[in-house]
Amino acid sequence: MRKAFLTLLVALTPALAQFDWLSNLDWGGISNNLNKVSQVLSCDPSSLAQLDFSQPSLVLRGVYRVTKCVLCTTLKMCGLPDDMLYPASWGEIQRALQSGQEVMVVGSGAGVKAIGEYLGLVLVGGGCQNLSYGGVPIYTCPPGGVRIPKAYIVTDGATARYLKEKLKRAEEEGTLKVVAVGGERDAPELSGVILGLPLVWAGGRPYLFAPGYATPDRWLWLTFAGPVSDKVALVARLATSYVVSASRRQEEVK
Amino acid sequence: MRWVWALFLFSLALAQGPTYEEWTKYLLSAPDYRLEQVLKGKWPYLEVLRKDRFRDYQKGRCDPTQGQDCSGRLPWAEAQAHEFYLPLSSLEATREVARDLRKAWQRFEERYYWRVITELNNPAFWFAYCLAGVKGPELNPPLPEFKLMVPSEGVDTAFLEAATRSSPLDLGAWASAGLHKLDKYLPVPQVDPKEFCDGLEMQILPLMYIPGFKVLVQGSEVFRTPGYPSQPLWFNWDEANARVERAMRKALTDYYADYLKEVARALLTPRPSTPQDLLSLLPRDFRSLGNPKAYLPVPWQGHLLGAGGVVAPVYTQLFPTDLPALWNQVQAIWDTYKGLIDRAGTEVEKAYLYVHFYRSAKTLFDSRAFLGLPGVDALKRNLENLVNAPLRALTGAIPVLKGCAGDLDRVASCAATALMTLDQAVKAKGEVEKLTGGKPQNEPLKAKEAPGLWKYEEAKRWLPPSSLPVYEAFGYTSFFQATNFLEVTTVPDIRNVDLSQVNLGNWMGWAWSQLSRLVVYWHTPLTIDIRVEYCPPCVIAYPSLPLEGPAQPLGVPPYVLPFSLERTHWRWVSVPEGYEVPGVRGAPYTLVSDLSAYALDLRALYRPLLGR
Repeated sequence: MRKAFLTLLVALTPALAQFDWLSNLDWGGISNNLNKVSQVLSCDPSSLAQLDFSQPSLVLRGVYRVTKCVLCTTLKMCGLPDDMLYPASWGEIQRALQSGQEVMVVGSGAGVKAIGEYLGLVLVGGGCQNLSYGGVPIYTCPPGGVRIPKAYIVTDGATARYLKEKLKRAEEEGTLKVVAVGGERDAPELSGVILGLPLVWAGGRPYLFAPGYATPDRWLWLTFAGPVSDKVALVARLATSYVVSASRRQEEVK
Repeated sequence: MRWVWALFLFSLALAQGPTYEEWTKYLLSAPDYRLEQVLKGKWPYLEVLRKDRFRDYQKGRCDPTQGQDCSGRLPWAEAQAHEFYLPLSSLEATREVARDLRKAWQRFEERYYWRVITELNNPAFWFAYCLAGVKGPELNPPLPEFKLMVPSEGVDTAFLEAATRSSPLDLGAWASAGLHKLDKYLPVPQVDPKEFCDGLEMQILPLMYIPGFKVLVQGSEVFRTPGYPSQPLWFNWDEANARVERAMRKALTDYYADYLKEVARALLTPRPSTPQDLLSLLPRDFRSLGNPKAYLPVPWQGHLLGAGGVVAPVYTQLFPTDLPALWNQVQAIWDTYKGLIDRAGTEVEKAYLYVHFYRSAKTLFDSRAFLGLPGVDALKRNLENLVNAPLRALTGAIPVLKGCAGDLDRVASCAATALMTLDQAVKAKGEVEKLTGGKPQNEPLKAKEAPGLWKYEEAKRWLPPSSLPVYEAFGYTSFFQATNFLEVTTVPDIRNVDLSQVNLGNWMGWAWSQLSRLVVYWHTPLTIDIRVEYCPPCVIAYPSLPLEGPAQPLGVPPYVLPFSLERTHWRWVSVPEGYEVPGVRGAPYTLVSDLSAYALDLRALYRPLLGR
């Protein structure tokens, strides 16, 4: 009996330790005295108030950095890595697109419109030089085009209608599918909030982006460190299978 | 010069008016709100129309064997199936469905996290949860709030432009936005541990870490391992990664499938589920009509991504017996109406608002249901007080209304006729200014493709759910809708905070939720205390738990749990009679094949209830 009790106590220690750790965090210090605690100030918590909410990837990154820093400086937890999202070069994205694997884009708004148009062009090959956003021509499309077996774009209704109109050729050829979320006519500004982080799944890796400029080659592209990337890939791979069935469903509804 | 052109173009844009024919497809058509039918045991319902099919149907049957050209025509059976009957549900019941949708998510969220953390921290957590069964309180989310949303694309652009010209307009959000979270984040699971322990065995090997330590001699520190106490001396990263990945795969395939099933069941099962139980809810006399709690969903292809939605038109009560409350409702409708027409209407339309509102409210109070009810006369007087003086003041000021005199009903109907005259003048580009007394009126009051006066109708999308007589008199109905979105985010959702304001309230709750759900391995650092004791003098070294706390968390990738799959959202919208039902695709009572497992034949179930 005593042995069982002792085993149980030992077993419960780590679970109870969570209480201990969480209850020992200096919550008052973090929240009340943001301006007084010099340690916390060194984490630049005011950056949270300046986050650009139209750029969810940057919000995630900014929040992670501050949280990680506050955790380490105020109390004990320094076991997290410096960053969660690292910049990826445009060349890396292009290589990922050319890897001959399926591509999926999730998001809404101007960024997805631009990346969708770019995909539409590389899928049918050439023509990139004629394309410009705000007078800036894109020279980054390979002349012969890129071989992507299938590309899916999941976006809100309004962006979907825009892209379907723009990318007719690629859609007719069957290389590109645009999947609209929500009803036939809905509220784009609200589904924009709901779709969350803009994601490009290419070459078996997830990439987030922050479309600050007009053309995708000049955006800030972000990717995860190796082990994180593998885990995100797990979800993204599953998501593609759900998107494939969604695009099949769309045909069914038609 | 340029601004003159701009002004010219602007006025042209103004003069265009609404454009309905291009896109409206799913229309709310004749609702059947006859309460006497309810007393005879028939469930109240409304009718919706597929406009494209209806148009084709109106052209008559096309027979290619008789030499007719049938290209571009729908198959006859399809054209015939253009009317659909949707039973009404109670608002209360749809809120309960929304709660179940939330609960299903919460269950998944808990199972996802605790599976990962238990498998990673095996055997310690396995002992605690899978063996000892440590568990917090059950999940019990409160009823979600009702929130009305106005889908901007459902509203005609001409109206939206006019209404948002002076300042932005609050269109509301999905009622479910920000609700995919737990109510309380506790350091213990809020689901039965059996739900996330399936197939999990105690695992002692391989070795997960060699603890970090510090050495004290006579109470003063002489050495500590790098990263002490946050990091162990050595950590088995490969095994930790493999464990997390295994657990995530299990959660995202099995537990997520359970979530989808649970949602489909909650959304597509009528409550109560048999016609007998439903009919027993209906009262037999007027006074006890009340608000029978029933949820009668209609799949409009179903809620899955790429399909459509599940909808249920809602009532707050069948018949409003509390007359003071009814007057408050009518006044709220007036406030909403006035606010919108003030924004979007011309001077003449603002004047006509009194007529329009008076006629609708009068129809309501004059309806047979209210006949002889004590207190109705007081409501009629209230209405006259609200409308009489301002309307009469306007009949003097606007030339086209000049001849309107007599009692209030007369004035209202005379003003309505006069306004139609004005509308014809606008359309014929006649001398409008003379009729309006110099006030400009460029847009038509009545649009070709839109029933009623389009601006007043569009404004109904802002009206709240109500009782059947109010719906009937004002000509609209509110709907509950649910559909899936693909969302790329984390669990718990990092977006569930308003970081535009860093203050105690929103920072703490959010920070707690994020911190208490990090993916961490709990390890125990050691202190090795070396002391010279009098035993006779000898050196004793013994390990003890350090002062920094008995256990330390070590972050393991992906640190926060990712999520990028479908999630069910819900909302309530109001639809004017004759106008588009937003957020749907295809046809009602049809389900995509992926939902065929839930393919209850709802139409057959509802037929005896509706009588058609």
